[in-house]
Amino acid sequence: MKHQLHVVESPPDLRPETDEAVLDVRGLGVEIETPGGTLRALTDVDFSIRRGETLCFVGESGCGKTMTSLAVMGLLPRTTQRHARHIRLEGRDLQMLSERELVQIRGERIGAIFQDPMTSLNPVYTVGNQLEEIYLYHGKGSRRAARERAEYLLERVGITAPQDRMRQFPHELSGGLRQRVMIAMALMCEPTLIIADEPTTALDVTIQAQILGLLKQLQAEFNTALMLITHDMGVVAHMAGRVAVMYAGRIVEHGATADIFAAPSHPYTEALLACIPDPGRPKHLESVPGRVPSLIGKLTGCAFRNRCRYAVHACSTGDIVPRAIARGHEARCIRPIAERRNDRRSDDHGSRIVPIPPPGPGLNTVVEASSLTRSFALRQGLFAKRRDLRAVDGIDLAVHRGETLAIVGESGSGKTTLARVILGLLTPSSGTIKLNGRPISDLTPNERARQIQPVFQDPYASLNPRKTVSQIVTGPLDVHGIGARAERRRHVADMLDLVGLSRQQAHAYPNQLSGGQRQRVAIARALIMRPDIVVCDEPTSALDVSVQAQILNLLADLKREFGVTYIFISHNLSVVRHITDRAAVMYLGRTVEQGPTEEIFADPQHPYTRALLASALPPRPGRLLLPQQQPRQSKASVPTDWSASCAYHPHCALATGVCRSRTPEPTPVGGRLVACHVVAAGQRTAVPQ
Amino acid sequence: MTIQTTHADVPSSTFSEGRTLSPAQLAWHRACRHPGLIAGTSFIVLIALLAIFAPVLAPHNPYAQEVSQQFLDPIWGEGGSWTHVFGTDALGRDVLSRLIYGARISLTVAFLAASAAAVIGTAIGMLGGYYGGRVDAVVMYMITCKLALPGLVVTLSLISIFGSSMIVLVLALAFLFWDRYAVITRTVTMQLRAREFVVAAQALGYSKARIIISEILPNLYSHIIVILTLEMAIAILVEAALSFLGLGVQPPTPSWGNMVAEGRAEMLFLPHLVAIPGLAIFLLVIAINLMGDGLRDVTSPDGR
Repeated sequence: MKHQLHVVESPPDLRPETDEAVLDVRGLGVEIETPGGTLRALTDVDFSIRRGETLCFVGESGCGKTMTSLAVMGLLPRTTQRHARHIRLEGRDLQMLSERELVQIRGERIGAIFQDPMTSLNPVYTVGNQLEEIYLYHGKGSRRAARERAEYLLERVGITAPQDRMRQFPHELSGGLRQRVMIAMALMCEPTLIIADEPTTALDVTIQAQILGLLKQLQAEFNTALMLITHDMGVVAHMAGRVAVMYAGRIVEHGATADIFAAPSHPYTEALLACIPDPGRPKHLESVPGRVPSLIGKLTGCAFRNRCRYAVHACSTGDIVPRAIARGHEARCIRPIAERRNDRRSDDHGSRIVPIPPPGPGLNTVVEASSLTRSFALRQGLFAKRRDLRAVDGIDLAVHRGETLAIVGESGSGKTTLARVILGLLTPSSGTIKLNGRPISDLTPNERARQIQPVFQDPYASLNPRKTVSQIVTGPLDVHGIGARAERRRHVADMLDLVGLSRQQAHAYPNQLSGGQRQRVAIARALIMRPDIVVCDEPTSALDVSVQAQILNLLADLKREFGVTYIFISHNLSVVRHITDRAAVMYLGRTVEQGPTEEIFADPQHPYTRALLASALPPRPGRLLLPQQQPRQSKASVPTDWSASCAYHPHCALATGVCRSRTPEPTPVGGRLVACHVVAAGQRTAVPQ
Repeated sequence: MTIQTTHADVPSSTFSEGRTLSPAQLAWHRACRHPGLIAGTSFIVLIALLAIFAPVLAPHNPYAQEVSQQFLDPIWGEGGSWTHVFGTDALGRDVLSRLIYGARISLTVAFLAASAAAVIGTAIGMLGGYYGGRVDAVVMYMITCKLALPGLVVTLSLISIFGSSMIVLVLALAFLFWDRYAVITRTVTMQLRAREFVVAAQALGYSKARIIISEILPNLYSHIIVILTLEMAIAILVEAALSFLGLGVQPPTPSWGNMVAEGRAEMLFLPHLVAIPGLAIFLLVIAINLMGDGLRDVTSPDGR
């Protein structure tokens, strides 16, 4: 099936108030006893969801979104204490039910979809088995009825040949297919409420758009209430009828999606929306300083005041209760929006920052990769013939001094392998890489380290847990014997200053730092050798949006300071558009399109680039434009041998005979390189936008 | 009303800022709340102090024979006296003094053997785990061979070839115990090797030796310490068994195993001659196991 865009109508979300709520929660609180005191994980949470409605919970990690869903299902860990005025599901208070009755309700009345489709299916049972089991367990009917329902739902969630899929085991399915199975499973007993906790966070953007569209379609069809938990404002904007913004265990703002996006009323909501990179925003992003406070102890006043630009003395006293802003819109803030407008703090960096001059033509090339290939041996069984998986398949790439080059692609496209090859950590199977004109294989480790450095995705794994921050940052200088001892110490202190870490934090261990602070340490370690090039491999994808903005700003500042060149690997399109000058779009080990970022985003040429950009969800309320359901065959996603065809042709709406028989070469199309026969031949027919 | 918006004006959060602890502080914090660990460690420290200050604490010379004083009853027996609290053995030597001196042998042999095994096993395990491929195949082959050897029989034959001395005993025991270190450090090294801080070290141009020793090894310490304690407990038992068989520390040097062996002849009539050193072995092994379990609990990331 081809990529086609069609529109899913939003179900009418804001219904008359007379409609009975499926789930009605009042005064929900969760407490955990810790050695340091009582941790109030949730405080005074009120919400309700009606039939056919979607309520989105959004907020930074650690604010209690998942805790809320677990508290509703009664799945909290034993060490916690839950109390509430009521948690009513279809009029019955779940607090009054025995564990046995709750077990009946979970799965039958409440369907749950979790983040990681890899771990939420049992690997030892077939898909069909697991689907039927739920139906049979809840005594909904015979085995035959169960099978029929399972097949029907698998078909409804867009899985082709459901009879065959029923006999497969979870590991035989791709991530997207597994998440579809999870949705089918949640729907088996026709629940009145579906709780989806970050259902698409682990998936690629194109798959995310499909899964969300599917959820929305099915929800409208079965008239189910949906409680959707996410950290992604783009998902909220496209899915929710109403939004509950959570901070420090309480709902700080609650209202219709359109109202909240148009006029956020709580400073936290405003800040969250402001720090998302979006075209038309200044290059220096707004960010929320500080971090979510520890929830141990009793809170007086507003939990957000330490990070709030509008905080006044009155914010630290009393109990801040929700105040109505408009009908169905309330926020826990004592300062009305009109009053706040006047005292917007003037320390906005935006205007002060000199824009980075875009690199002019004829700049010298710092990284040059030509026909780069890296393959891995793949064995499917003990005696099976060895096959080669080409993770990187003939890439030509030039990076100029002072620019930021994006490498964009979905998982499995070979971005990370390419990065490791460029870093000299993997040897290419064929082709060459030159750093500043010299082949990387001729450089000593010391020379290489002084030219190119990495920053990785996961700041929890990229720092040695047994070393202090200053040991980590000083390490490279010590090892290569750069400078005298005192000089090194001064150097490290300067660097920590530059990345915004305090003197005290220099003696901290990584586990004492937040994710953003750790990423700052990783950046300091990469820059201490003053390399020409820094390869950032998804440097912000493990961070909350507010912290992401801080790190992106820091990277931009450091670029001005040191004139480094960045190779920026990411799947996050809004980040790429914000920070990079040029972009290379990768698909299954090859670059399909290369050129100036702004031009690619404004007018994508390659069919894959178009599909990718169409799947992105900008943080503005809107309809879900999604590619037609298209379960990827697992075979197609393993790039073993595409030597004689275009790798994208099985999914391409424009594919012709030549796409199946010949590899497209990158051809210049108006200032960029596009590897597509159709585009190159200028046969571009009108594609449905 | 004027509204002030300076941050300094806002009292800082009333939440107690959850101060996070360094890994070592965290382990110490947990250790103070772990009864098993505290009990085990206290007992071991007590025995270690007894062993170190044996010349001061022992009431008699453990080698002094006094045939006229043989088989004196302990304090709870009929003719017991405070001069010989645990009585005397067949040669009239003071049992308490021999017990105190015997702790020296048991602890020294156990600690040295377990440490030597730690050095051998960790080195082999880290090499296999870090380099993988052929090196790892060789390491796995060595471990498999070691596991297939009947350990005690090999130790017995080693001792009978090289004679019985403390050095031979320690090395023989080290040879018996290295495999567990190798298995565990190999697995953990493999996991750590894939972590990005090791990749970052490679990108920084660190040599392999440096990555192994200064990046990976510190992350293995907690694992090694836990195995070390557990192996020490086994080493104490094996040393006692070898001494009992007459292949360990040679008489008249007092060791707990020797004392059990010497008491064996009188076991039916004077059971305390076997029971007292036996009980000492039993308590020490329990204490070491408690300490090992406790260390595993407090050093593991989730504290369980």
